[in-house]
Amino acid sequence: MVHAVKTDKNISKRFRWIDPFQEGWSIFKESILGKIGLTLLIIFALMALFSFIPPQIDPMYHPMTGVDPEISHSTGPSARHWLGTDFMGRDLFSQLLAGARVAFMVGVSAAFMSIFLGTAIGMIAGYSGKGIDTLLMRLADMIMVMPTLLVILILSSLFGQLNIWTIVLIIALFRWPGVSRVIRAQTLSLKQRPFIEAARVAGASHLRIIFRHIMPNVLPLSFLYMTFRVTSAIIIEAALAFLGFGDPGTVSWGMMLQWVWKTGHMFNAPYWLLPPGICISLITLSFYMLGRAMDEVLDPRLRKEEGAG
Amino acid sequence: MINDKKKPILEIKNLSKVYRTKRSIFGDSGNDVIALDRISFKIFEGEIFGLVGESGSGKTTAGRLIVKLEEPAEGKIYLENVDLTGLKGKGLRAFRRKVQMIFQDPYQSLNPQLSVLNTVSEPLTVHKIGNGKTRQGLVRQAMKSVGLSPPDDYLHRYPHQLSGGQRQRVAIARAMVLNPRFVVADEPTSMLDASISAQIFNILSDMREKLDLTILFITHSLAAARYLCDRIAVIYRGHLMEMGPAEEVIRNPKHPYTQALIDALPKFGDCGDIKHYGTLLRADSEALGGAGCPFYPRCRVAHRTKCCTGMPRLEEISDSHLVACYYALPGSEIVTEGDACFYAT
Amino acid sequence: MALLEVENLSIGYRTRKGYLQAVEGVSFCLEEGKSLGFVGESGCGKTTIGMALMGLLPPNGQVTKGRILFEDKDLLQLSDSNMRSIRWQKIAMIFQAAMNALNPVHRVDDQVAEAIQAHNPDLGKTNAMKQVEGLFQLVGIPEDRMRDYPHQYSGGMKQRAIIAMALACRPKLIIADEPTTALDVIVQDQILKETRNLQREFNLSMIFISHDISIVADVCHDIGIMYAGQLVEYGSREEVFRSPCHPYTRALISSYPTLTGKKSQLTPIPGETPNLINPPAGCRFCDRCPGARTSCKTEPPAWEEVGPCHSALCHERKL
Repeated sequence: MVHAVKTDKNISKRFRWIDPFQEGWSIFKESILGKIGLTLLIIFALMALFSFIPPQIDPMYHPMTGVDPEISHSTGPSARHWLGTDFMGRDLFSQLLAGARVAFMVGVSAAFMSIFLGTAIGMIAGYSGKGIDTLLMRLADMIMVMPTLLVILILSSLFGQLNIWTIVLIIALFRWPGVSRVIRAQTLSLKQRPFIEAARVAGASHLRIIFRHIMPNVLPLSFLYMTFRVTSAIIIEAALAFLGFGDPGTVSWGMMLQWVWKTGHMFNAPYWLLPPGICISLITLSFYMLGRAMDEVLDPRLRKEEGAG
Repeated sequence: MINDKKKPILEIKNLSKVYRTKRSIFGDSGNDVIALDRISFKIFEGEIFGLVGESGSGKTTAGRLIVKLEEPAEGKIYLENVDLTGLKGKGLRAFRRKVQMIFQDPYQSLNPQLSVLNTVSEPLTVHKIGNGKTRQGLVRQAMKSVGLSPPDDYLHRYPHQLSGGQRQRVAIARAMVLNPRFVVADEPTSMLDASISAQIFNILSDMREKLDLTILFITHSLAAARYLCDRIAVIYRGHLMEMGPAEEVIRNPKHPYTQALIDALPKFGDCGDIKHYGTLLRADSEALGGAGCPFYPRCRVAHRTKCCTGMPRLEEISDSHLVACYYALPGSEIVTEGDACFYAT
Repeated sequence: MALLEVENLSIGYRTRKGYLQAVEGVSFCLEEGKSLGFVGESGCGKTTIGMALMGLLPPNGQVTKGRILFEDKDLLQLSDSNMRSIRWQKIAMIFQAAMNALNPVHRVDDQVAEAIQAHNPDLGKTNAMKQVEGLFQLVGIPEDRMRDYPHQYSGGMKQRAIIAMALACRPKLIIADEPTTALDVIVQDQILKETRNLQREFNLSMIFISHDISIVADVCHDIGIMYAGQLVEYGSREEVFRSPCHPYTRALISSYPTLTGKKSQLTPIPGETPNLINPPAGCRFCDRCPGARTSCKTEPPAWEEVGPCHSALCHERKL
């Protein structure tokens, strides 16, 4: 019928799912912070990706177990070891690459879990209101004021060395309240919006309203908070590892710093101390900058002036 | 067309709604806002009933109570003789299929994340009507009936790609896709340009013809109500002031408030024989506490003792024309003055 | 002599989607003590004209052509500081939804006094307050409500306070952009009446911007109908409403519900307004015009005098 012909003409007018991303990208591109953050992140991601290569070349480049048979103490940069070696002759460059992988793993998974928890709890609290809201928010307050690092230290002194995934889980469990507060506030304001009321009048159930109408509208905010949560997760993991409570089976940047300190190379091996320190600062900074730029994409008020007709 | 033989589809009896403001912990009772004060009216099958009032008059509250977005403090609402208070489960689902609402602000009443197709088909999905294919057919039909044709041009667009008028038409299509018996239209054109409003009025009036629909049209404009409605009720601070056939209420308003509303409407073009009543004493004024007529502080004709001690009852003064004013009874005509039309000056 | 003369004004915006010609070739003049109303749908450029007159276009907006002569000075050639001295002193504006412009934490009279003092720094606080008193009396705010906070005011009272603020420096020209949109009919009527009285009393010139044709009909001497960035019909109120010439004006009038006339006479305007990033080559209204001919699509229409002080931008008259 007429439809078939008409659609062709209007195909360009049609809305594709990719469009909001393209539009967001064009705004993102204009943010200097975003560009720097993204470039840094791509570098770190490449590092994490390439961390699998050195052990393939020679087993002595394995970040944990590979020891250069000819070296038995810390040495400076050389052609054989680009960044030098640690106290027992392990390659620092491959350790640094492995650290990037761990940072991503810890950061993203802990952030993802805490965002998942925070979003779910925030939506439930905001949407149901009254008793459930009060209960959940008081719980959030209680957890929010607990010092995460201290609690993990106590836990690990109780249960001995913690595995890296346990640490991730604990970080996630302690980091959701901030997100849930924001999501709850957003849900509260969405709940009053006529399109939610329209769905109610149409007969939609509470679950349908939450998943179909509220969730798509709060998810962008959740993902924004995820970038900030990644930052805090990486810092917590690094701090734990540096204090000696990290997972002894993984090579993270915090762990590298701990080795520098424990073996007394703090002040005489800058080639060993600086790279992980700089990496930790830069990766947290880059996630933060990415978050700021995304904030600009999501919140029209932060954008630069755009013409109104 | 008012027809007494027609049976009422909706009946409201002594409906009240009070909004409680938060009480402070120091025992301050706070101010309760009475949005509706024991109003009663009937809406007959197939008519468009206009509820006209200013902001804060309770007209929107009445609409929200009817679609069960809120629960009344007192009183009953009957839809096709079924009491709506405490409706749950199956009864509520059946009710939701029969009654729909069109909201005031089309920029707010559509979910920005859902395409037109998903928005309009939502009620069908919720009520499990048809399958994917047949649903799209119903959606197309609803969209054509609101003038969004060909529907394929719009199905996959998102609200932000539509103009205000198009959005409101999508919202109307969403309300109509279930083939409801009764629709509450809450100021559907107040956010739109005057030139778009006429489109919306015509769609509503077409819908009534085609779908044998009954509409409660909530508006602040008597002119719009006159154009669209069979009967009009004028509401002021939670009280019904005047109710009757649209043409009759506008041609022959009996309540001083209705007359003030007619005076205030900007007039242009052919003014015809519109009179100027001059019943308004003051433009702004605080609400009067107590039992008196709520319009008393602004009313020029009001009597000092009579009008501020008791709220007059809504009484029939002529064929189905009801007025709540001591001075509206036959024999107590209000003196009018002046001319409203600018051409004459 | 005309107080304000606008010649061939064109204004564009740079947007993400391309260059948007918001106003094209608009000319009008306004004499002292007269009022002019612009009517059009949202996005037709009427607010943009007001902003251009105030020199308050957003950074991505630009006047590309034309002149704005105010008291024989071209406002577009003035430096920023000279413009600042004209703004509010000589030309004041009442913005859309201006009621929200009052600061909620200050008393209303203080805010108006502050506005006065900002332009007359030599004026003492007590003198400024005296002026405020006079102004509030003028716009009809009772004396005992002067020291209230904005939230204690109703919408109409806030709007009155805003009008008082606009009047504070005794400007010659007031631009009112949708001044009564958010108000109830009765309050709107009062405000319009008062504006008319003030205008007469102070021999003010006013430009009224509204999408509501009835409001403009109520208060303005001259009326300009705008469509898609162009002025399409211009003339005295009586002429325009008695014998509307442009099909858009006719459509606008007949789509407006009134208290009289036959019910069935309300005819909506079909279709949508054209996109101003790629405006159509010919007449911009031709897609929605009942009497459009093929030539309308290609040839841009020219201004035609249809009567004394009444002209329209339409091909129709050429027949």
